[in-house]
Amino acid sequence: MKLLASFASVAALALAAPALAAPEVGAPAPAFSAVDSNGVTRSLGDFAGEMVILEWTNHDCPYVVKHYATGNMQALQADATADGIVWLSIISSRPGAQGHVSGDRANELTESRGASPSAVLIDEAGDVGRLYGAVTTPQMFIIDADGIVQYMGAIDDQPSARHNTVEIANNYVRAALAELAAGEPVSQTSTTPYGCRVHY
Amino acid sequence: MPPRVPLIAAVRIHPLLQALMAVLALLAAPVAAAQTSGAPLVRASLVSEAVEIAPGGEFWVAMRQQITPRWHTYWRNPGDSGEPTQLFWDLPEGFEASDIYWPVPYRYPVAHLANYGYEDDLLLPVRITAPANLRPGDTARLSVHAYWLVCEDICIPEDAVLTLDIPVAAQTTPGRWAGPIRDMLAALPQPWPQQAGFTYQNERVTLSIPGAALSEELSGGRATAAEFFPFRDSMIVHAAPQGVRYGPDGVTVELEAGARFTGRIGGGVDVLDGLLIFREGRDAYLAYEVSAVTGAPAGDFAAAAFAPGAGSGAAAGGGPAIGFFQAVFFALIGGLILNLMPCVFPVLFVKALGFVEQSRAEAWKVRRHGLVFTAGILVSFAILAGVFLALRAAGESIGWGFQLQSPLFVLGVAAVMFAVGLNLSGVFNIGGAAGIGQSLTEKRGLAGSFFTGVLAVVVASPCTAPFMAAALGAALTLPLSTALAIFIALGLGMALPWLALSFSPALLNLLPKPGGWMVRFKQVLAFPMYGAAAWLIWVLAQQTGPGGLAAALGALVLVAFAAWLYEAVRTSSGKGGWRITGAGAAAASLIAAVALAFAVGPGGGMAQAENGSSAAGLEWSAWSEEAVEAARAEGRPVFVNMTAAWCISCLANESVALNRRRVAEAFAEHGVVYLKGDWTNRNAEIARVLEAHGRSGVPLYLYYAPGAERPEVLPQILTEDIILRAVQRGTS
Repeated sequence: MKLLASFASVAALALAAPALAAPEVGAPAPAFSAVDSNGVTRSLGDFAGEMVILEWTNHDCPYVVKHYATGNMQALQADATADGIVWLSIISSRPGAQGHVSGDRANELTESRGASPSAVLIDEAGDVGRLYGAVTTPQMFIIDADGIVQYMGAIDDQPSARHNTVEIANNYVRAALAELAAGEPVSQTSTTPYGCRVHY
Repeated sequence: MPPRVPLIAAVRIHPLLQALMAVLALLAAPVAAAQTSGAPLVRASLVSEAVEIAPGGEFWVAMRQQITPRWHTYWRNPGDSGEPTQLFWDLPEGFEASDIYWPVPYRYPVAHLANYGYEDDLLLPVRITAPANLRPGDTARLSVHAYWLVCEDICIPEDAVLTLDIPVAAQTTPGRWAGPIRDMLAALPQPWPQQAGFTYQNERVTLSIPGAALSEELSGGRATAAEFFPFRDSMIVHAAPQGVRYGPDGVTVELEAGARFTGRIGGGVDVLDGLLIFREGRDAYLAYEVSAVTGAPAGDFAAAAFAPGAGSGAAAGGGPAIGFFQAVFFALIGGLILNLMPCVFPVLFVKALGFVEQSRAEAWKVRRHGLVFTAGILVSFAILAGVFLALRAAGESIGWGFQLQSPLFVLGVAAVMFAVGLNLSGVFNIGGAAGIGQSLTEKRGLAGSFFTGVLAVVVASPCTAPFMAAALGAALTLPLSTALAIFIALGLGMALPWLALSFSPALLNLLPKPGGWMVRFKQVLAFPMYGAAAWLIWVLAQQTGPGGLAAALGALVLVAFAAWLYEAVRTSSGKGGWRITGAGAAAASLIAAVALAFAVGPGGGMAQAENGSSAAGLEWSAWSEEAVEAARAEGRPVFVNMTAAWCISCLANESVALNRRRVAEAFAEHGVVYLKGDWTNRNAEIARVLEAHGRSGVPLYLYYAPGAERPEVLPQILTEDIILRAVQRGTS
């Protein structure tokens, strides 16, 4: 019995090994395609030669709310897109779960919050989210013009839903973008994401 | 204006009363403490162990979270998502608050992720230090902005400003939250004294923790699960299964490496620290803070895989625990022996006098009284057992003798003994002028028999015979019905001699003939009662200090006054007015006595002595798990004495067997470390040790020979030779 149990636990450990090729900093970003809020299919390959930012989001998650209610996320989007960077907001909530929205509702949210993503991808099957190992909302990825992952993780160093933490935050994405623009290597390439779990 | 703590503290709820409330209605909502935020998912409040604080003193407060069922809040490391509860203090000048001392969390797996946190009713303790320049009479306002995230499927951030006004006094006074907060502190993870190590290879981390005591938890302990929760984020994959193995020297835990190990986050890992948690079922019963550095410590840590369930159940029933019929038998014998206790005998002798006087009456009447007396004993034991078992079921770490850990109960018993003594001395009589036995044939006599039974149980509780502790220890591991059977057997044993007397005229004839000697004998028996009362007051003095002692002595004076007044009114031939005034005054002084009793408070205020020595030169230090482990790590033998001021057999053992020159010499010669655990007040850690050895009460004597895996459990009745032999055996 004891032998059987230990065999079972070893087997369980072996099976728990990651089944997916998760994105890695310095490696090519996994290719994906998904339908956006206007029904257009978007692929990562469509943006070859351009820098791309991926933002996992869920408009009802208190951590996402912190960044939108304070205008923090919108400011970052405006600055990035003004520099010619493609910004893809991705919603991986399953239908019925928190954060899941129709295309129309997604556009409404973009409008009402004054956001400026290049596109909002509706990933209700969770394929893109799982491919990228997205764990929380918000969670960020920076992919450079050569399709290489340059940053992955939290948006900043304040893992809290308290709105006043935005003022004292060190924004990892903004810092990485500045370094990339200056032709320097990114100093903080990967951090532990924080927030609500993604509702797959 | 929110209710303030001192107001609530004025209506201190007695622990036993609380227990009863819990038995009657498990939902009995606790009295709101301080300010309640009114937040929908977590009811937050700030509670303090002290209702009055002393300048320069240190005391514990706690943020209480009453969490909506199925929702949870987070530990210091929330896991894959979430956020720990945070406290932002606004304290008066000079006050300081510690960080939260985090209780042992649960793991909440969701899909391929996991979180660490808490549910139900939670206390997050914080140590507050008051400045020395406070003036008694001032009031300190503690204010905290508490912020927490509460999640089920979705997450809601909530916050509240909680305040607590605490008066400054000459000394710190514990309130009704002292018990729950101290229990929470006692259950906090303790630092594991030995340095652990880790190795990282192929995306796997092997954590090795030295310590034979740890592997014992897995090889024969209560554990049905063991797991490691890291303090820091991204150290491990939280949802991955953990492989636990153990050898003679310690325990290893196989972990799936997180992003900090794989190098994706940060610049490598120097230290891996977190909690090693042992669970029985879902609940943690033991947890240690473990700190590991690169490299594996020497020793065999992985000889066997830990298979939950295998052997752990059998171990709980094995060892020192005993079987059902044995337990019932010992309970019966224990009950019989209770009759001989100095505090019980006088009460029952008075009963016997009744039988003697009644022996001329019809046989069926005598029998009826015998049966009613038995019923009184059995009902009292059933109530006591009910409260005891309900508290255990509610997860309280208590053991037999728990009722004596309440100063209020101790004072109550002392007052009853004192009153019985006064009655025996002839200060007052109940019922007919000639005394106790005479009204037997009246209806009131039946009630008298019943309450004599109740009284016998009440006064017997300080005299927990050694037999009872073993039987009651067994009761705890058995199902409810069998546990009750053991308590009933105890009561039956106690009633047995009197039942036999009432049913057998032949036995009655053996008793001496009634006569004038009975009055003198009764008067003599008053003195053991006074003695017992004096002893209980001494116990109370240790629990509460001089203030409590003064209140208790005042209460006894009032009891004596009420008794005298009662008798004066009863025997006077005066008019109605005098009778009513007198009776009123007697009742008023009794009420005043009760009020004084409540001023005694819930105890726990006196710090336990850290060490000491006896006249025979035997030196001891305060017991703790760490002290035992530290001494054993040095290779020294350890003698553990679990005792309490209210435990007669403990005190007897100490004077006749332990505090002896020969024992002191043997201890000195072999370098025995003598550790004393004081269970006079409640202590969950000691209760756990008692339970681990199949006991539910003190005394408990353990001898750890150097290098031995398990301690030897010595008998509850000690002799010098038993101790000396144990020491010789262990070192030869």
